[in-house]
Amino acid sequence: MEANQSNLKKDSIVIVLFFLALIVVNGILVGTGKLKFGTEGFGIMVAAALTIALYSFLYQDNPIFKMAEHFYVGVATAYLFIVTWYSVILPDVILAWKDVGGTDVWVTISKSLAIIVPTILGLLVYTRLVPRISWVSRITFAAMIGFGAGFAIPNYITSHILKQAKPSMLSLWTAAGPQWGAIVIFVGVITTLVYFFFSVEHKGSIGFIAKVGVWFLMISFGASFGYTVMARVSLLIGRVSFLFGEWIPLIN
Amino acid sequence: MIQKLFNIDRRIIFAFIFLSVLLPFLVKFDLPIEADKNVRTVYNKIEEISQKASGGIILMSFDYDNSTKAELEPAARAILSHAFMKNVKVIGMSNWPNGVTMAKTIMEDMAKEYGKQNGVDWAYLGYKSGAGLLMLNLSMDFHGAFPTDTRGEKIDQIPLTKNIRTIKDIDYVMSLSAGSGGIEEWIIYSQSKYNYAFAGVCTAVSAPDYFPFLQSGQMHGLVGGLAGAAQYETLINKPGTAIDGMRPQSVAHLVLIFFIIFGNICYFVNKKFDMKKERA
Repeated sequence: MEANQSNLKKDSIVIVLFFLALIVVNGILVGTGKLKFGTEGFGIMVAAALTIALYSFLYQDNPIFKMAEHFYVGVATAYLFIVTWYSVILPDVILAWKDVGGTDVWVTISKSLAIIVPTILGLLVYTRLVPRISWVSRITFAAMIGFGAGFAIPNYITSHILKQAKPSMLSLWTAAGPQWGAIVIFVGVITTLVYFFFSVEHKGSIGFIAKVGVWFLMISFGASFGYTVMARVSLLIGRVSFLFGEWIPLIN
Repeated sequence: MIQKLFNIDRRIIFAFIFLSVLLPFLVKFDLPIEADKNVRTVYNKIEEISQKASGGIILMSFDYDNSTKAELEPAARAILSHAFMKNVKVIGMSNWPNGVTMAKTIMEDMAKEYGKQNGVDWAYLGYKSGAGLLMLNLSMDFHGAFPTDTRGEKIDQIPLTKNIRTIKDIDYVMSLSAGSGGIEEWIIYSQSKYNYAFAGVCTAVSAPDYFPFLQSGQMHGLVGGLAGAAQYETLINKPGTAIDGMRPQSVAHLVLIFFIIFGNICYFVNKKFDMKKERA
């Protein structure tokens, strides 16, 4: 109990100090004219505060980080709802009825069904909120899974297997001499497949081929890791250039 | 001593990385930037499209949100600059709902910079749910998939889009993608079926996943991460945030390489000490 109270007190002090520091820095920036006083300036202040709050996790977990995290979840969910309302529900479910009427009765029926059926299927998902009738939501999920599988599997096989197989079967030797790129791909595919073939013990020549496959895998993981580092540093660059470019104008 | 180095506090490394990013922004120096083949292919394709009598049309699908803005926005701005510079018309759309306002703002900014007219030179169609289904739908029936643009104008009445019936009426399609609901879905549900010129603009972390699609010809070109954007800015000779970001990027990489080598040396030295202790 005492430990909890002490933690609560500590958290309160951290939050108060954080906001005091922000008020002082923003006050100086606005006072010296480096930050505009208005909606744009306020937006920059909030973005800067949230950036610092989220990066504070790098030091250690703290209440400021948690606050920013919850704030993000709330804002993102609300934004998602508004965008979905104006981009999907309003035009495709409500306003779409304006285009339904016509002289041809079959066109009218098919247009009406195109609105009614997906809307009902969508609404059925909400029956999960009432345990007694939650089984009804399975109709929607069954439709989604059935349609998804039928729709995705043939397309996936075409794009990821059939179209990918062709460049793995290039000529290794042409009139121009050995095709080193094709040779590397060929060796890489075969040795990696052997590594994932577990029905035979990886000993002797099979063991050697599997080891070559492991090397190919390692090089691939290394390349992926290098790109991951690059991506994360790029995101940090974006935030640093915002903090010291738009908020505190150190960078020209 | 070696044990202390081996257990170095990770916050010290964070501080070094932070400084390695901040300082190169303050101390300016030039680094050579050479466009690679995949970025040059995208550039050349837009050049080729611009030679068409009608000016050509590209579809840019903004399939990312604010979390990857730092990596993908510079590339989006560079490609839009190039297209508008060459009078290529651009249609924008999004598969990620949280990126809608951001994508629209980028298109509006660039159109304003080059004096382009909404509905005639560019159009932004906004977001629709469905991802793969939407891609397939717009490939077959463009007007059916997006009946209106974000202003509420019917796209069968907008000068730029009224004659576009299927994806084949568009000269070049590209997805600016940060993950699921982007490049891969475009390839699975649309490109593989309709065989059109398709390019990807992606975050660096996902770039290795897309190389096989380049090899197979399913993807025409690839602008990967901030480095790809910097290469594109170099090609259009319009330095922007990506070229500026290459200095901190390079210095941060050097610091990381140093720490990786340092960590490995510490590991082997420590192992040697342990072996000596065991022998003793």
